[in-house]
Amino acid sequence: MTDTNVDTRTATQLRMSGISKAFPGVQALDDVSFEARGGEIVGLVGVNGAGKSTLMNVLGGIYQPERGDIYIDGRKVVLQSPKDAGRQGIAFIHQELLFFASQTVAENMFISNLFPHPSLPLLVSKKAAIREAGKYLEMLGSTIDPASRMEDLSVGERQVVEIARALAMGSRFVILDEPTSSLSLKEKRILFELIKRMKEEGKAVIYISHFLDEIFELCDKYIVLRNGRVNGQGDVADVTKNDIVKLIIGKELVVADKVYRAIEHKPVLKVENIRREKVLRDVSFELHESEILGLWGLMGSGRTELVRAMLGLDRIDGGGIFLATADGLAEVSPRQLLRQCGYITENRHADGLFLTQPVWTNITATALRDYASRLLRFMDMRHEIATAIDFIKSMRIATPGHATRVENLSGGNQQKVVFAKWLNRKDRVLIMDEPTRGVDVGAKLEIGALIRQRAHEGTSTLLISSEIEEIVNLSDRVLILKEGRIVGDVSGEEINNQTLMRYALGEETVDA
Amino acid sequence: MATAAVAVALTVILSLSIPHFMELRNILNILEQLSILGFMAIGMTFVMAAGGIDLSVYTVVSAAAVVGATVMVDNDAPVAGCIVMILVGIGFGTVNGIAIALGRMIPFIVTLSTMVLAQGFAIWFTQAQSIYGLPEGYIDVISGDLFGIPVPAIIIIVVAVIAGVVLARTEFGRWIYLTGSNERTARVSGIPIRFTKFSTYVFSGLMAGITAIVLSAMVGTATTSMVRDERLMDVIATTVIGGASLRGGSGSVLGTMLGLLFITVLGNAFNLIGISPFIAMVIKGFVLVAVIGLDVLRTR
Repeated sequence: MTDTNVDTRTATQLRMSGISKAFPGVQALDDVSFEARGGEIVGLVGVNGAGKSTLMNVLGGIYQPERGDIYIDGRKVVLQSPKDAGRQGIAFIHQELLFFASQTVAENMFISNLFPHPSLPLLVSKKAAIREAGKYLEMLGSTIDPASRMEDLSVGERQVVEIARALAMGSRFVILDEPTSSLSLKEKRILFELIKRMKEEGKAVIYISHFLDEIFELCDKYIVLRNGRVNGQGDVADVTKNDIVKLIIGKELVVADKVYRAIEHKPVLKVENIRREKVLRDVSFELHESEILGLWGLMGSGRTELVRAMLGLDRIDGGGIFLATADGLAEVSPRQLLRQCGYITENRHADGLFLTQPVWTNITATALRDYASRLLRFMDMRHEIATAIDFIKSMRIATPGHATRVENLSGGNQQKVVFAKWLNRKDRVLIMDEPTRGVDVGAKLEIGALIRQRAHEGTSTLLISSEIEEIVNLSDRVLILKEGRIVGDVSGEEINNQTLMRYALGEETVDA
Repeated sequence: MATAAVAVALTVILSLSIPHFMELRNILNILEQLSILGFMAIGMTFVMAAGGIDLSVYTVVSAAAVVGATVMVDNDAPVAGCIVMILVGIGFGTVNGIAIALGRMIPFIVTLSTMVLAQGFAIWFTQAQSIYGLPEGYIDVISGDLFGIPVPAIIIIVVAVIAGVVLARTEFGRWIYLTGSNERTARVSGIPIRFTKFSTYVFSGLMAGITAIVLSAMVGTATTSMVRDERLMDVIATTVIGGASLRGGSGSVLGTMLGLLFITVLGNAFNLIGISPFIAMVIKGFVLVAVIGLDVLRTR
C-alpha cells in the first residue's frame, strides 16, 4: 500500500520519453512521450493498430523499446519484464484477463507472494490469504467471497479481483486495457466507481479505450495515438468529442476509386433481431442480390460474433434468418444457412484449410457430392483434379502442383485456396470474414478484384473487415456496428473513412 | 509412405540374413500372425486417419470372443456365434463412437475406459474360465486352408482390399481424412464430422469382432486375455509406420499392411535369432518411439 501521509498527488509521477519500437514491417511506436500523475486518469485513445497496446506493453515490461526512457518519480527505470514493472508499482490489467480458473480468488490475488504458514515451514496459509484478500475487496466495496473459485465469477467480478490484486501489490500506476469490452452496463458502472476511487487514493490510472463516451465520462487527460505517433494530448475539459475524432482519424480522406453500382432491392438474405447476451443486440439487415455489403466496426464491436451466431457456430439467444427461395423469403436455421452459404473464415489456419492435405482435396472439400458416383459414392478424382487445376490457373495460385500440401504455400496463396474452395460450390451468398488478412499487397489486390467480379456475376457478399480501406474500396453499402448494434448504414459516395469512423466511435453529430 | 518403404527394405534385409526365414512354413506362420494384428490395425487406420485413437480394440476382441464362443458351444451354432462376436465388437465400437463423436469426450480417455470395461466384462461373463470345445466345423473352416492358402490370410486380404478402396476412393474416405486433418474446417465445409468419427469407431469394433472370429478358431478356445497387452502397441506402431499420424489426416490401408509386415517380420526375426521375448519388447518399444519421432519431424 502507498503511504497515505505523503501527498501522492504530486509525488507519484510516471514519464515515458521518446519511446520507439518497431516490429518487422511496421514502426509501432515512433518517438512517443507520455506522462501520468497520481490522482489522474489518462485516457489513451486511437484505432486498432495505432500503438496503444504496444506502448502499454512497453510500460508493463513485456516489450523492450529500441529507443526512449522511462522515469518514475524522476528516476530512470529499466523494465525488463512484467516482474520489474510490478516492482516499480505498475499493474497492467489486460483486456483478456489471465488467471488460474480453478484456484480461489485469494490465491489468484496473492499468487506471486503467498503467505507463509504461521507454524509449518514450506506451507502456505490459505487463511491469511483469504483474510487479506477480503480486506482489499472490502476496500473496493465488493461483496465477492475471496474463497470462491475464479471460474465461478462473472467477467466483471474477475476484473474487480484483478483491481484488488493491483491494490494489494501496492501498485501506484494501474493500466486498464479496454476493460469494458465484455461487461454488462451494471458491471461497467461498478468498474467506473472503482476507477474513480483509485484516482482519489492518489493512483495514476491509464485507461485505454476507443469509446469516446467513456473517455469523456472518466478521464482528466487524453492522449491520442495515430500510426505510432502522438497526434494530440491535453485536458479532456478543453476539447469536444469532435476534436478527438479528428485527432484519431487524421485528415486524409479515403474514398473508393470506383463507380458505384445501382443495386436492385432484391433481398437474398434477411436477418431479423439477432440477439446474443452481451454481444449482439437486435441486429437486423438485408443483403441484396449481387450486393457487396460491408460490415464494419472497431474491435469488439461484434463483427465476427454476428456472423458466427448467424451460422450457428456460436449460441444465439433469439432472432430469425431468412433466405430467398423461388417463392420469396423463407426462414432457415443457422445450420441450414451454414450449409447454403460460403463462409470464408477469419483465420484460415483454424477453420479455413486442411493444412496437411493437398491443394486439390482442399478445393473440392465443400462440394464432394458433385464428384461422387451416385450409388457407392466413389470419387471421380480425375474430375476433382481437373477442377483444382482450373482454379490454380484462373486464380494464379502459386503452387508447385495440385498435389502439394497446402501448408507449404505462402499466406496469400493459401488464402486463394480458401476462396477456390468456396467459389467451387457456387453459393448465392458468400460471407467473408477478413478475406485478406495476412496476405501480401499483390494477393490483396487480386482477391479484391475476384470479390468484385463475383459480385458482378450475381453473388451476394457479406464482407467483414477491420481494414477500413478494404471496406471502402469493395462495398456497395456499409453497415457500422458498435457494441453489438448497427449504428450506421451508408451507401454510395457516403462510404469513406471519416463517416465510418464517426459512427464507430460514437460521435452522434455526424456531419456527413 | 517413406517409413513404409523403410519397412519393406528392412523386411528384405532380414529375410536374406536369417536362415529359415524364407521357408514356406515360416512364411505361412508370418501370414497367420499378420492377419490377427491386421484386422485391428486396419480399424486403427480408420480411427487415426479421422484424428482419434482406439485403445480398447484388443480387449474388445476378448469380450467378443468369449460371448460368441459361449453361444457357439451352448447351441452348437457356429454361424450364430460368429454373428454375436461381430455384434459385440460393433457394440463396444458404438459406445466409443457415441462418447467421442456425440459426447465430445477425449478419445484416449474414452477408449482407455472401454478397454478396462471390456476386459472386466469378459472376466465377469466367463467367471475367468476359458471356453473350450468350440465346434469342429468352425475351427476347420476358419483356421483351415482354401486352395492351399490359409483362410485367415484370405480374409485379411479381402478385408484390406475393401477397406483400402473405401478409405482411398470414396466420399466417406475423404470425410475421414478431412475430419482428421482439421475438424473445424471440416465442419464449416459441410462435412458430417460427428457421423464420420462415430463410424470409424464402429468400424474398429467390427474389426475387433472379425479378429475374435479368426483368433478363436486359430487357438481353438476363447479366453479373457486372447490378445496380449503389448499387441496394442504393435497395432499402433504398425499404423504409424504405415504413414498414419497421431494428429490425424493421414495413413492408408496399404501403408498399414506394409507396416504390419515390418512389425511381424521383426518379431519373427527376434524369435528365430533367439532373442528373449522381453528384450524384444524393449526393442520394439524403442522402434515405436523412433517411428513416432519420425512422424513429428515429418509433419513439422
